[in-house]
Amino acid sequence: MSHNSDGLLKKIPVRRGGVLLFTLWTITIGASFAWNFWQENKAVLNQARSEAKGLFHKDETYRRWAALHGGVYVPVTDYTRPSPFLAHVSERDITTPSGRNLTLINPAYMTRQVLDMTHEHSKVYGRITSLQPIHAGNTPDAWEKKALQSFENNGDDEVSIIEVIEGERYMRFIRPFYVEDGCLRCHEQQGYKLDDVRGGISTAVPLDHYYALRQKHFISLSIWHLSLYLFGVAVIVGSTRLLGTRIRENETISKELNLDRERFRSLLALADLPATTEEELIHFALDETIRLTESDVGYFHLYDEETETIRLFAWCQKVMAQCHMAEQNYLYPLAKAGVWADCVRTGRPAIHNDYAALPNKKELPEGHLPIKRHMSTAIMDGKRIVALSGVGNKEKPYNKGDEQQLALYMTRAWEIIRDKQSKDTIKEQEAGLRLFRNLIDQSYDAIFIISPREGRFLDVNGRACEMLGYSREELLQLGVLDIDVGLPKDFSMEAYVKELRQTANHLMESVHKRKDGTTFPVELNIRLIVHENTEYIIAAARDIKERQVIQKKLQQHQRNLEKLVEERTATLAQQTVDLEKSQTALQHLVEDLNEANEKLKELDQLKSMFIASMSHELRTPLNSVIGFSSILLNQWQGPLNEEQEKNLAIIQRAGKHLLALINDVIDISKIEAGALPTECETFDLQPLIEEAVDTVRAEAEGKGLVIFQETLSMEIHTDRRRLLQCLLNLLSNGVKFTDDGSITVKVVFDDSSQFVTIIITDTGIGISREDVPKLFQPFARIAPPGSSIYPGTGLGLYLTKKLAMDILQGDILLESSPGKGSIFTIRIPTRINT
Amino acid sequence: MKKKVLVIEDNADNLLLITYVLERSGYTVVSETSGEEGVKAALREKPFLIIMDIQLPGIDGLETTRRIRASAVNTMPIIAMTSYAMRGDRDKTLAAGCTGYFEKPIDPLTIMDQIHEIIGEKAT
Repeated sequence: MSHNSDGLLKKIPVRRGGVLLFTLWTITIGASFAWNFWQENKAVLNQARSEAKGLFHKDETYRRWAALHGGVYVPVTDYTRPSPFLAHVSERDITTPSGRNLTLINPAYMTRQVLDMTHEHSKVYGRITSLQPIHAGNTPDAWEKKALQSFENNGDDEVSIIEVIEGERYMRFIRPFYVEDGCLRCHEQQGYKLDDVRGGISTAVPLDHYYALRQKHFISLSIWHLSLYLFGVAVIVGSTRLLGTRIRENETISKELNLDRERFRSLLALADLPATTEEELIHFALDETIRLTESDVGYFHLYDEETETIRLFAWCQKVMAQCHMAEQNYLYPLAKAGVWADCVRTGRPAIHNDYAALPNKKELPEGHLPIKRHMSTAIMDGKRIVALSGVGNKEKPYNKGDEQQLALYMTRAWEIIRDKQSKDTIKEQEAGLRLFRNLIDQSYDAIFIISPREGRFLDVNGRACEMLGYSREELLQLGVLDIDVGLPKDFSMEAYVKELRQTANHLMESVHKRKDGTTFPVELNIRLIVHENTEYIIAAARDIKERQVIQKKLQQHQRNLEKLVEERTATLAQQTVDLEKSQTALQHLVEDLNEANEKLKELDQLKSMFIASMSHELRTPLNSVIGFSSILLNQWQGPLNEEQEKNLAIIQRAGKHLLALINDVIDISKIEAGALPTECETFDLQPLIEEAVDTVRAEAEGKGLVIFQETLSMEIHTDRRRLLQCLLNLLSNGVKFTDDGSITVKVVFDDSSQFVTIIITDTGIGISREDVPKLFQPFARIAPPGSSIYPGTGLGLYLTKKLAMDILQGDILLESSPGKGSIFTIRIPTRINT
Repeated sequence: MKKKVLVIEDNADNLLLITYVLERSGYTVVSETSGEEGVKAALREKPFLIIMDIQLPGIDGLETTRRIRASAVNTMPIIAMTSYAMRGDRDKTLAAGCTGYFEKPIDPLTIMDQIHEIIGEKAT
């Protein structure tokens, strides 16, 4: 980073110096131009003034000449008439002896005439003027008056001004003239003395041709200054550029030197990296390459030439953090890889400095980091491509140096890994061999490698030495025949090997002899193997002395076991018979139960039929009872005495009670059978409550009770008939058990809830807390002791609760206290699900 | 001449009751106690109105109504009176061809008004 800030520090003064120089140059040229122009202007005006002054001097000279002579006599003509202003002068007009008339022309008259003539020939104006003019035409204008006053009072001797006269610019110029001897002849009477300011000669010189001159000079001045200015600017810019380039070149060189140093250092660091895993090494190399090529991202992938597949191996940390591609380590066929794998296809490094403009690139997968620039190279091991590595998103374009860096660095990384791998492999192989040898030595079996020709031991394991009591060296001097004493007398190695060649594996038992002469039984597992065109016999020997002992014991155990099994089998057979019996009994039981169940079902049907026919059978006689008692009570068949009427009323009431009972029983049986359909409709709750109240009103008012209503109009969707039935039951219940006071119906609805609550409060007898649950049971009769029995079916509240819960999907609550009254709360959904 | 009403009802007590009420309202009552006889009586008597019990021996009130409706005299109102308090009975009777439907027990004080309302005739 240090070289960057150095460069910055050097760059700033160069640019600043350039700007400063430029500014100075601009100011200098500007100032020069302004000064020159000002001088030029001054010179031109001075020239004009000189002209005016010249004119003045000329006029003044004429005037003085005339004054010297006290005026001159000229012949009288039309142009020169005797001046009326000189009438006071004696001998103004004279006649020559020849008779010509002459008149006196004084200097003023003469000057006026001269100046008028001058104006006729040129644009120059001129006149004489005075603060005390004799000739009214000589009266000064404002500027002339001011000038004349300044001549008199301050002793100034000339005044000039630039003014526009008749559309043209003029320089007006005035100088005084003084009273001389000659003047007094005419002007003494005005009180002038010698050397007084008599007046002034005022001239006006046209400035246009002076300005034209100034314009010409201005143009040449401009051209000259502009050329000089541009030349200077070119010199400044050129030199600044040159200087900047020099400095930048120096910077680049030193930067590259630094980079090279860094690269070299980094390469050294790579080689010196302590024992790390491949991943760490590659990551280190990758991060270094990214840093040294000033890239943003990088990757390193392995390549398998045979299968033409790329194994994604490592991404730099940044890619790992920013890329959100699902899989991160998988095989990728070369054919499917994008332009980033071109280096593998061509074998040459690929630089893509404008990635977006590449014609044949594939779309990046979703979640992939956006790529601006990219450079990749194939990593070679000899002539083989073994990997590819790339970096991307450098700020500046990638160049040859970056490419070399990438190739050099990643190739080196690969070499280190390869060397490390091969070293590791050898170490691993050695370690593996040692482990293997150790395992072989520790094997439970004695292992012999035997030459097939003479049966000599070529190698043996530790167990073999241990089992036979020889050292390894001793055993390697011996052969099969020295230790195996179980072989047949006619054993021939040659024949045996032939036999072995036919079978894969030969299993046999034999007897081995130890060094001390003792013998032990062995089981041998022998096979013939071919290794590098040479035949070997491998024999594994296992001491089976213990096994033989165990086998004998096992045989004994087996016999015992067999006996035991026989006994147990007999017991089990008996148990099975018992179990079968139990099962049969159980089956009978289940059959009985099924039968009972069938009977129950029949009974249930019977019950339904019974209720249906009971309804009919009971209603038919009730029709007569209620009908005829009604006819009699209505006195259709003649008047009744008081007692007859009373008794008939009892008959009618009993009949109606019986009818109500039947209706309740039918409803309950239907609800219990689930056969009472819900008939939903949408309606207003308020009229429903009024209908219920109206139905019981007569009865209530007959008892002197007041019914209060606190209802509200709201739509609900439920079974209207059943809700009315519930409310009627609760209301008539309240009326029935209240002797004085009131019944209150109140509707409570909260918008947020999906339930409406109807509260029916009475001031009746009430019941105790423990009796509350009983009240909703069928045929519950909770009468306070000593009170008369209240009429009713005994099913009303039971039915009401069933309707409220099963049909209206709500609930009923009761709060009550004896002597104070009861509060029935029915809470139902405003919209029920059907 | 008094208008004729045919009552088909198997229960003598109930027949007595409805006959009393009808006659008191100024109708002549003809009665039968079975469906088959009822159909014959309807053809024979051509009554102004038929009061029909539903549960009858033999063919029931519904079938009787259907047969009357299928016969030559099929325009008079038929009012069903039933002690079947099961839901759906009303629809069944109306489907069979009945003009109106009453559930027993009837109220003698109001029944005539109700009948008149159904058949659209002022009480006499």
